[in-house]
Amino acid sequence: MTAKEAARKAKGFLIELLGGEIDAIRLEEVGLDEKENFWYITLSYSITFVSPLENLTGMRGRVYKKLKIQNAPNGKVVNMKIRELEHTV
Amino acid sequence: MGYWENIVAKCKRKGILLDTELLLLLCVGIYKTQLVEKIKITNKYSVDDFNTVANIVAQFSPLYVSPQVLAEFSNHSDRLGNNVMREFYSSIGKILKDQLEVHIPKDVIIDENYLPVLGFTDVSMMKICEEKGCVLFTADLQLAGICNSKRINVVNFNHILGEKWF
Repeated sequence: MTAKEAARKAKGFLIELLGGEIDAIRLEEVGLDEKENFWYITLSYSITFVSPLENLTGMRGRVYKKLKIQNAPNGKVVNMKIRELEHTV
Repeated sequence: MGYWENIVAKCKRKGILLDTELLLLLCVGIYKTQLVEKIKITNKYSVDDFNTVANIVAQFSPLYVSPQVLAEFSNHSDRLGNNVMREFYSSIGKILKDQLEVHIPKDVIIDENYLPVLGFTDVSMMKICEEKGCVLFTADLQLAGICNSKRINVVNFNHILGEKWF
């Protein structure tokens, strides 16, 4: 599996899971663990629902998710976790 | 004008600084393009990704580097093996010589609040871009996020790959 295939797999998984609730998906990070044979793909997205507070402040953050994918033909998404960052805008 | 076009317009004469990973991708690709997908230091990237990096770098001048990036570059390229190293350095010598080396004093790096998060190399790159107004070209999400929050010109290479792939 190439990085491109892993990234597309991650995006497809996210859309299937969250569907119309998310918008503007972006590829943020690509990692390959050759020892364990997994791709790590971080995607970010904005949420289509805008809360009243976000509406007032005009501030809408992005959500960052890190997906672990088997590095194999038709590799599956094994898990998805929040990608914690020190500072993001 | 999109983010990318804006960065090119703003920084093409101010220059660009590549993080270690992208500098390795550029240099390995220049040395032997087919090697990019075969060796451990670059094999998560493809030949197409190398061409994308090369095309982006070509739009900016000058090309900056920090001593810390060169040290990391040397450590990683050691994995090419002794036989290949001589040929590798002779083929990329011009690129490395053409880069403008900027030294950031260690005390400036140590005083940076983000040092515990980023480490010496990333802080050195951030400080150079802050000082020169050039663009930082990186594949590191954490570094890109912090630079963005400090209004330093930065491009996350993965955003460009994502636009091509999605």
